[in-house]
Amino acid sequence: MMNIIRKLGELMTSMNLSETETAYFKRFSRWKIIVILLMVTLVFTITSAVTIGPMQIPPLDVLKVIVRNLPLLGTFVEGGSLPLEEAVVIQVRLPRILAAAIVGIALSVAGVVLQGLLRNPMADPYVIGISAGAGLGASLAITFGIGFSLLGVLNSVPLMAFITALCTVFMVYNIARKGGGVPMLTLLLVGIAVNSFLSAVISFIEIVSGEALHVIIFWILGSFAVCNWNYVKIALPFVTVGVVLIYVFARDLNIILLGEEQAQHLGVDTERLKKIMLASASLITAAAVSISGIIGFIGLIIPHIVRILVGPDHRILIPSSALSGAIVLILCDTIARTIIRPAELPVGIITSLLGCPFFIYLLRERKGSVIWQGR
Amino acid sequence: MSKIFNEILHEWVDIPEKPKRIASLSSSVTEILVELGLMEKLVGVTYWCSPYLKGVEKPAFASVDKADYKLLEKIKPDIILTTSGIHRNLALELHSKGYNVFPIPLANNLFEIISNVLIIGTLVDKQREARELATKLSIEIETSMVDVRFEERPRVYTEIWPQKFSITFGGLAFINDVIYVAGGYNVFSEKPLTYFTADFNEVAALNPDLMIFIFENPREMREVDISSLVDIRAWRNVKAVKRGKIVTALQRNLPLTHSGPSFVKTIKLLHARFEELGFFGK
Repeated sequence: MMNIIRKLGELMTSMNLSETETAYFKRFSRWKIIVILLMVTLVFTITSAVTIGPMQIPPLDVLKVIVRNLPLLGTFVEGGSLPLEEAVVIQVRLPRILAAAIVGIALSVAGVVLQGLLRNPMADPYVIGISAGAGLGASLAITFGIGFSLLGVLNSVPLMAFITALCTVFMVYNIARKGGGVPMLTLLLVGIAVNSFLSAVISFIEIVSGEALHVIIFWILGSFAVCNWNYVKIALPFVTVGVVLIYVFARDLNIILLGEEQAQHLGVDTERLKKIMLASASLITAAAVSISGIIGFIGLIIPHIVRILVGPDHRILIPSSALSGAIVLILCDTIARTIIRPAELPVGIITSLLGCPFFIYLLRERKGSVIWQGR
Repeated sequence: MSKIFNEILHEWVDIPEKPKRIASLSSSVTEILVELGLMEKLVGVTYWCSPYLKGVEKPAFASVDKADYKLLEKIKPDIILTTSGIHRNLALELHSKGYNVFPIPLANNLFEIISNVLIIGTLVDKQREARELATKLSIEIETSMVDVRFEERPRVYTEIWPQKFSITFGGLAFINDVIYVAGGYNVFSEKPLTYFTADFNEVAALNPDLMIFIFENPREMREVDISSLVDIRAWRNVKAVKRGKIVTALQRNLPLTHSGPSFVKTIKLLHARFEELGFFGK
């Protein structure tokens, strides 16, 4: 592969491409390699995760079962049926793992967007109130039975979480709006304030919830234990549309890193960009949180690590973060469901245990960067 | 009156032989005029000229791209002097409205600053004073030049107005010279550009020893968190960041963008900062 790239590089040079074009081509080739490697890793992670569980299933059997259930390809798989393995893989493990992948993608990409818009690497998808909003909806549904089910297949908890998450973001956005625009700092502060307020309301609901308290807490801590194919089918379209829309604006996100005024001078409609990006990030985060609960640190840590590895260009940062987020969250969920077998830990505990020390390390690394200031 | 063809405007401009009422659209031109002893004849300036007026108040009639024509009617300048670059469009507008505007080339290096002193001196009938000032500046450049081997020069990345415009500069900007004379080396020296926004990946690849961020005012300096900026641009592994060699300064304290005679003070200030940060003599 490297020889091919080198030869293509020589060919490009001999074609007298500008230095910028050659540099871009080399960078773009590197990006493709990164994305392909991550996709291969994700497939490997999914397959490995499916094999892990109380019932040992060989990887080859896992692959046979998966391929047999794919449209068109299923007829090409030879061998007898594996009904028990099929039930475990298809009905129990795979939807859960795919849900973890979808949530990992959503939270990571939303984290990239928020960090880019706020130009602050300590931002995460929950800063604008989504987590507290979703928690409120879930708490109301669990404690008081408020809500409805969708087509008889999806119960009220994820639906209420989704709706209240989006309502909260809408409220935060409108409170923060000044004139025709939304100052990002104001948005952040209003998000913090609303998060605090709604967290207090959730705490009150927990106090009066009685027996439902442990259900609320388990939900808030984040888990894929109840995820089935319906959850995947509901979340996937929202996350897909949101992520694709975000990627379409990857170049504009690069430009806004220079500053809003500079971005405007370079032709970016910054207010429109902020609206679309906030809406997309909110949509995918709400979809994720509605099926998994509140899983912390993925949206903060993954973009941060990936940025160190691939650089700040959103055209590679977004897909790399998406794939990395999926891989990491699948691994965390696998640990969560196996570490105290037969019981399960909420996956949010695993991500917090890993994420908190890393967050503290980031904060410490950032101290003392500037040694001469403003005289 | 003389008629001179101005290559920047691509027009003939009427220049009075001994102008009595001079306006300036550029802080570097204002400083040159003051240094030539023309404070009394200076009737109008821009909003950024106040640091160079030595405490004297003068009417500010223009920003970068807009002029207050009512004020201009009152001050009635014989000639309006400015530089090319960012002021060019306003210069064209004023010329089209019948004012005698003469833009001089924006300095690409320190010697062009001296050249501009001579041009302005000729335009305002202060040739002798301009020659003296030019000679003084030439000597000061030579005495300020730091004798440092190329390998010992800190490689410097400078950014002006971070997260507002985030502009850096290439080999065709005079700031390049200021950094070189002060003992450093602009990482984008070899780019045949004046001012531009850098590719963050390219800055990381160039791996500067020192980063300088210049802010327009204290509010912006407070609002921009350099640590966040460094993280979001994936610059954690850049030498300047790892070694903590990051400098932030207000434009008025480190006027790198000012191409007037006080560039010598800026060179000395910058050199002093390089020494404080331990770049020489280790």
